[in-house]
Amino acid sequence: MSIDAGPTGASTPATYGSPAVGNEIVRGERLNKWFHRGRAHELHVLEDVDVSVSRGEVLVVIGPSGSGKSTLLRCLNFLAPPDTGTVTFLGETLSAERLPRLSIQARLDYERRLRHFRTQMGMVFQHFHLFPHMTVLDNVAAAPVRVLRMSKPEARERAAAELGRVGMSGKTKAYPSQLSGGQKQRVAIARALAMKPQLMLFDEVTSALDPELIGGILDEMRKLAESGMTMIVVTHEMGFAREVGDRLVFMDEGRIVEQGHAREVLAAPENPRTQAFLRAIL
Amino acid sequence: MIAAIVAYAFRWSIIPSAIGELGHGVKVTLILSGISTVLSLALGLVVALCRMSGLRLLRYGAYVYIQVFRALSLYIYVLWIYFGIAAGIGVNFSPLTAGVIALTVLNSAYMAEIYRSALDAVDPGQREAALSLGFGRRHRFFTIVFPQGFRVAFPSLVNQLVDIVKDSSIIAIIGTTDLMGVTNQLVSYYRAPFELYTLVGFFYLTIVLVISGAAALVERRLNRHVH
Amino acid sequence: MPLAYQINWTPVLDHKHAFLVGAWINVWITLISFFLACVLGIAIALLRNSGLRLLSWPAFAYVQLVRGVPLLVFLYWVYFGVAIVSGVAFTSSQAAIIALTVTGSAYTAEIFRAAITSVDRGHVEAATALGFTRRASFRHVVLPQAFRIALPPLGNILIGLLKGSTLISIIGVADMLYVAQQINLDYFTPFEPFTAVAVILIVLVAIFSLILTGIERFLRLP
Repeated sequence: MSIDAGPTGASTPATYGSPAVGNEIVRGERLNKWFHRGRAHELHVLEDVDVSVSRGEVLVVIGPSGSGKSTLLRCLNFLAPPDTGTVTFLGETLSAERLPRLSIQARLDYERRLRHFRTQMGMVFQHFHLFPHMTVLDNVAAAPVRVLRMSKPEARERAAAELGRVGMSGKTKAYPSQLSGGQKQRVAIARALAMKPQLMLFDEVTSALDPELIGGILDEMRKLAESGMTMIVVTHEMGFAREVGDRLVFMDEGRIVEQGHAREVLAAPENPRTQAFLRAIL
Repeated sequence: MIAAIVAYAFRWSIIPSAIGELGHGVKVTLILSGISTVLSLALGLVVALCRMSGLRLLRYGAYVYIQVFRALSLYIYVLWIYFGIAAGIGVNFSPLTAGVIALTVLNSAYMAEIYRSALDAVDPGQREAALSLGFGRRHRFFTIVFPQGFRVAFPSLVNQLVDIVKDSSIIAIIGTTDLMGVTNQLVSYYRAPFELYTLVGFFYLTIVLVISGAAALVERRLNRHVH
Repeated sequence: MPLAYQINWTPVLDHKHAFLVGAWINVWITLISFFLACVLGIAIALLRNSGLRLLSWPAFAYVQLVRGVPLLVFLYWVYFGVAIVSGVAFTSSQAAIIALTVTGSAYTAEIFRAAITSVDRGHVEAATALGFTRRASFRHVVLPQAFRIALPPLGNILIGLLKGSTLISIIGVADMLYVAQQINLDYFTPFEPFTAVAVILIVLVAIFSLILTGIERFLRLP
């Protein structure tokens, strides 16, 4: 059920077996984001972006740097609230448009619903962002304890299980400063999964890794996709996009230029800009 | 001048008897400094949070507070509280109370600035990670941001503590129980200003060195796994 | 809280000239001490950086020592202690300047030391390659850049000395605080004079800060 992109992009009718609306997990509509809005150096980072992902689907987002891919992710979980537009997630719609004018009560309500959004969405970052002053186990258990209000022993059990799933059981008492990049990213993935989210967001999670460690992380992501997790993955790894991705979106200068079935778009892109981009990196 | 120095009859012999008295003074100074430090750490944190708050009134109020109190000298502020405010509201402060109030309020402004720049220095990615996990503002601050910010702030906070200990000597002007006050009394008793002021100088120096040394150990332990 | 005390600004306003004269004394004592502290600080920084243990260790000890002792102790030590021992009768102003200079020099020494070390080695090498002697390359290449780096922290020291100068009335200098204390004694009005001095100090610090920011901006490398 993909919605068309803006006027400049080639519109691809939704041919990929799109499920009915009931299976749609998240939808962003009319998303716009500016940096330094109203100033001389204003930057229109996201321009009228509509995006939708169905349950169990792996959506891959590719594009040159500055195209707004990371910003799109951050709009979905409101780390960078979209200036216009709405995000509908698990049936609930949230918008940041009227935020400055809300009363205190309405604001608290907004933040409460936002936190609920975020507990159901997990995010993994390019630079890991593990909490340096906590052990690996505590890193993963922190959110279940504080946000989900689990008891510490229960949370630690869950954390240990998630860490086992990503192959980090032996390092529960280590500190992030003692880990390699690949290990840190595994812990980051476990940390996000410990909240048992319904949607996982991956923001170029292998771009900061040494080449020999990339494969391991991509493997973890593939396992996750095969277990049925809904994922939105911003990446440069075209091999992964081709093998694991269901749908693919190409963004350039803040707009969705082309989208469709991952293998199809990668093999035979229709839009000249997509072609140019893929030629340059493949 | 050199001839005079050589000819002067130094009376170092009074030192042993003086040390006992000075010991009492040290205790008062340390208690005074300790209480003021703890209070100003807390007050400074409150001011720092106001400075970073979303409400404009709190932000500007904290900014003015910080600028005003960083511009004052402790001596003036102590006199102002001890004489001025006391007369104004009809309360008789003891010298130590006035000292604690002055030291606390003045240093809270410095602490606030230290906190602010330390909290700013924490990697913004930490905030993103915490947000994405669903942390609310209070948890985000106390579990994630503050522990890291405190480690950054620690050396500057220790410097502030050292300054508080040194500045506390100003109480001697309005009272006589702290280290400097005791020294002044001894000077008028023994009439040996050079020996006694030299001695008290070393007392303060020792206190400062001990604090700095202990702080270095604490810092090493705090940063054991964090880099 | 009802004020049993009636605020009365008349004594203060009547003597505003005296306050200004007193404030001026604070200012020029601060400026002189700052200048001397910088000179002394550079000398000590050079000793620290000299590489000779015989020279650098006493300099290090000096800095540690001075930084561990309160200004008040120095004031008393110079005005009473050293005066009696050496037979030299310092005037209050002289003792004040000496104490402030010494205290300030410990901090300026550290600032200059850090600034000198942070000047790019490459510049010195280039100068030597061009034929500058060591002393000349220091004077013309390192020092100017070190000054620019050192300026912001030095500004803080200047303001610190200004605040420190408020202590000098303790050994009898007729500065603005002395005026305030006199008024309090003569007129029994404790609140107003000290408030006035506090306000004057805040204004002075603000003026100094503005001037310093202006200088920094002026000296910014293009």
